Amino acid sequence: MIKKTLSILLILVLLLLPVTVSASDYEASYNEYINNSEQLKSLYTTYQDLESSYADSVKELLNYSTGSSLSYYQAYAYINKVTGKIQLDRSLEASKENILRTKMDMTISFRSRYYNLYTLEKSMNDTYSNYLSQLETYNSNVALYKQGYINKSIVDLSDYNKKSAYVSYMSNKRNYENAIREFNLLIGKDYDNTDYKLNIDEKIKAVSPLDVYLESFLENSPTLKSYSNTIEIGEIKIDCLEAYNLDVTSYDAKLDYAKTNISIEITALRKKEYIETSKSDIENLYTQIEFAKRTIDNEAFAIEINKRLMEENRDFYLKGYIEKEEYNSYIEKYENSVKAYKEKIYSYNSMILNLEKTACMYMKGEL
Amino acid sequence: MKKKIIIILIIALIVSGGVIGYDLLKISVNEANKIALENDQYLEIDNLNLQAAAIDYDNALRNAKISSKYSYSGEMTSYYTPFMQETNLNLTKMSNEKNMKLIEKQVLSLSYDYYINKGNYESSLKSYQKAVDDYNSAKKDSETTALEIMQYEYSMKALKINSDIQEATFSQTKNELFKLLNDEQVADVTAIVIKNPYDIDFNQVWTTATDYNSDLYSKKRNKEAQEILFSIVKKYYKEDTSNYISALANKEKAKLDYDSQIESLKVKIINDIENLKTKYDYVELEMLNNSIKKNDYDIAKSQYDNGFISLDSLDSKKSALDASDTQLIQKKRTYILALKDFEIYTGFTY
Repeated sequence: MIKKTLSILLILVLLLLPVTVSASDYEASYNEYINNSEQLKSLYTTYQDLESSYADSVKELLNYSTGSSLSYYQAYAYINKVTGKIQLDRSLEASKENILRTKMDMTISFRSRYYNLYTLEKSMNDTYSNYLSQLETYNSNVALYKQGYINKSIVDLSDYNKKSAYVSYMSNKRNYENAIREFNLLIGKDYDNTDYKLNIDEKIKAVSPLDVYLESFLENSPTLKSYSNTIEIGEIKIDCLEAYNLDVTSYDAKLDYAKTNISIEITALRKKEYIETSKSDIENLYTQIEFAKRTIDNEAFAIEINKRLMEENRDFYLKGYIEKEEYNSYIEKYENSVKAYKEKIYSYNSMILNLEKTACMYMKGEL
Repeated sequence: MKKKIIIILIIALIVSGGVIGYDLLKISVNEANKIALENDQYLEIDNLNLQAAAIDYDNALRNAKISSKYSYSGEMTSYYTPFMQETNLNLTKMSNEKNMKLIEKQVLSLSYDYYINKGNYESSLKSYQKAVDDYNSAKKDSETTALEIMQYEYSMKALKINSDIQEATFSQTKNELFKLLNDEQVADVTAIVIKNPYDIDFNQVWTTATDYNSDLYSKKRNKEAQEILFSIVKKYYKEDTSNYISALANKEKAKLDYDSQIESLKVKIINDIENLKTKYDYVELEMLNNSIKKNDYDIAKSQYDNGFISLDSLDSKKSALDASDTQLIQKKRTYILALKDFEIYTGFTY
């Protein structure tokens, strides 16, 4: 009797343990994460500083006198003036790109953490259900033992299974709660806040033809722009040194001329290498997405099969051909296939975001 | 009847043609390395870096010749800077050599991947074909329910997706090999003799590594550079000045760094030899498993030929042998690539 009361009490305590939930708040958490990011704030400040000083810096450069003679110093003054403007423009653009890229990285990272929370919560709930089931078996075995139908070793085994299920549940519960605390820190909420309703139900994202991603990469990649910029600056320097004929008259300029030419060649080769590697990355990601889409379509088919199985077995159950437990297993199978389908869509959408990131599509976004 | 035979022949030709289409021309590992090194465009970058380092070194030597030997900055220009630029030039050469070894590693890695991914693809294709057969039989069987047929269809589609993924992975490996070797060919890594690492002698490796390891060379040269710098500083600065104290501290730190690098390199070599032994043991174990599977298959083949077992039983033995073949290549890959990494940082060829 005491054991039974303790078990009931334990169930009540455990029922109260799982976190309280409110409405789904993916959007709200995401917005808090972005709005509270110190890194983003600092990047915005850098961009605003650069933007506000841009006009003065350009004016200063334009007013910089380069003289008219063909001296060594005047040639370099001219080079610094022309390339200085290019570098200034690039710095401003790179600062903007940095904000957009960071936002994209944060979005992908947030999705991954949110999904992690969802799977941890699912594991916690699954292990909790298992614990309840083991507890029920144990209680029923205790009753059977008292009536003399089974021996003590069966009760001991079910006691062990119940305790083992409880330890597993507690381990999963702690994992979930630890992750929740880390998540709260990330988005700037009180660490003990557990007011979440984790929901990964999303519409499937549309994917564009492969060429759209390849073209976006070639057009928007900051790394490619940076390579092109380095080459442009190097070429201006070479043109200028050739115009002033400094490669013959000055040893230092001759040295600079040779090293600049090498630097241009190296950068051009690196640019070529980067284009090839990135194109191949985009193509591979695209192929993976196509396979993921086919898997999703097949999972929809699995839902249809499980739904029919469930309906068929509901009829059998209503006619008394099968037990309630067997019918319940079909319901569970159906519900699990729906969950698996939603999880695959969420992962698929994340894959598309990764593709968009590799193709630098975030560059079209607003600051 | 004739029509049926012709159709079967056509199907057989298509199937065999398809399989032949997956095979690349086998060439020796040495030949593949030669092609990959000639074909690699990034070695051009290494050569350009070497040119730039040579220019800096020449410039340092030139400045050393024309500068005064009786001032602090003059001595720095004459002795310290050329020494540093020489170090930089030698490190660039060492780095280029390392990059060439990394290309050889890439040849090995992709060639092993080719055989592994080919095995995985062929096995996934077999599973899919079996699922197609099961689905077709289920459709013909009047006792199979519509729902059961749907389940067969689901499995068949899932295996088709898996087979297509394996095909894409295999195809990607072939494309990468094509880029590396400039043609439809693969290094015949199956011909590599797996040598026993229990015979590797630490002292032999250590002798090579002290000349070859770039991290150790860098620390050694830095120790020597700091000694040169200190010998210059002590001529021009008193013992209680910050320049003197700082140069002395840097000299002592560089010596400590070098000594510590020697110890950590020794430990790394010892550990890696031990790890190679473990990887080799796994190869040997899989070879044993493979010979068991081969024996099982030979027995099953003879039993099938005499009508004692079904084709399905024989097929399952063949699948187990194929899986073991792929596992064996995988284990050899792990060992050989670890051995190549060992060669890359010690310079010791085994």
